[in-house]
Amino acid sequence: MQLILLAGFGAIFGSILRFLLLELGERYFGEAASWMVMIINLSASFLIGIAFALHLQSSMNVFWATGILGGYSTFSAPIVELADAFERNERGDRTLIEIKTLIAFFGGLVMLFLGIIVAKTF
Amino acid sequence: MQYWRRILAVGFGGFFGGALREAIELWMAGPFPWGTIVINLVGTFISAFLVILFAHKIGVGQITSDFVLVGILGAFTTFSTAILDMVKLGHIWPALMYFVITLLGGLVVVIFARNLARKVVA
Repeated sequence: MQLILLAGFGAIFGSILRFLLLELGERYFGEAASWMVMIINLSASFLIGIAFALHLQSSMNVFWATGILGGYSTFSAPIVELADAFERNERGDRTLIEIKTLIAFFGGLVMLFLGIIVAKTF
Repeated sequence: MQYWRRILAVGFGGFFGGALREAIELWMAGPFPWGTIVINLVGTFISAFLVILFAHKIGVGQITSDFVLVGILGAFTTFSTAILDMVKLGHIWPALMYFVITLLGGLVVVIFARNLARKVVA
């Protein structure tokens, strides 16, 4: 029960940060704002790599990695964007979103390993 | 004032999303990380379904939409844990299987959720 509450408390901060960054993107970056989800997810992957490499104690890991970073990053937004591109089925647009999806997943892996390297170096 | 209410709604929803995610992770803990896959697919399904339902059938205000979609469901689904799960699997084939189930499963649930929602609102 304690772990469930800790994850919930962490997710409060993660969700609010995600919301503020997305609002910031919409307000100041116009069309480019759709890349904000990518920035959020890649930075979350980098930070979870650091948390993973630090071998945090169980409750600390649940608060930081599961709670804050889990609540900060989001899966539904990039998948819905991809599904939208398939539904619209305009060639150039669809290719761009497909490339974006690959960047998200493979970039996520790269960022996570980078996080591990950074944590082990410093 | 309105903005503070939106931030509180997202944070409050995020608590429930993050806590529910950890509860399911603990419940589904096993050799293969099905927990995160199930969480992401179920969360994406509900999210895609509710977007249409909220827009065409149940008129909800900005605060309720922020609470449910950005808060609860945004924090429930997670990108960083999915990437970490793939790395933790340690081998290319199980990781690739995880990636394919997550990506294709995500697309299928969005399409399925939208078709179902369109029938409900029709």
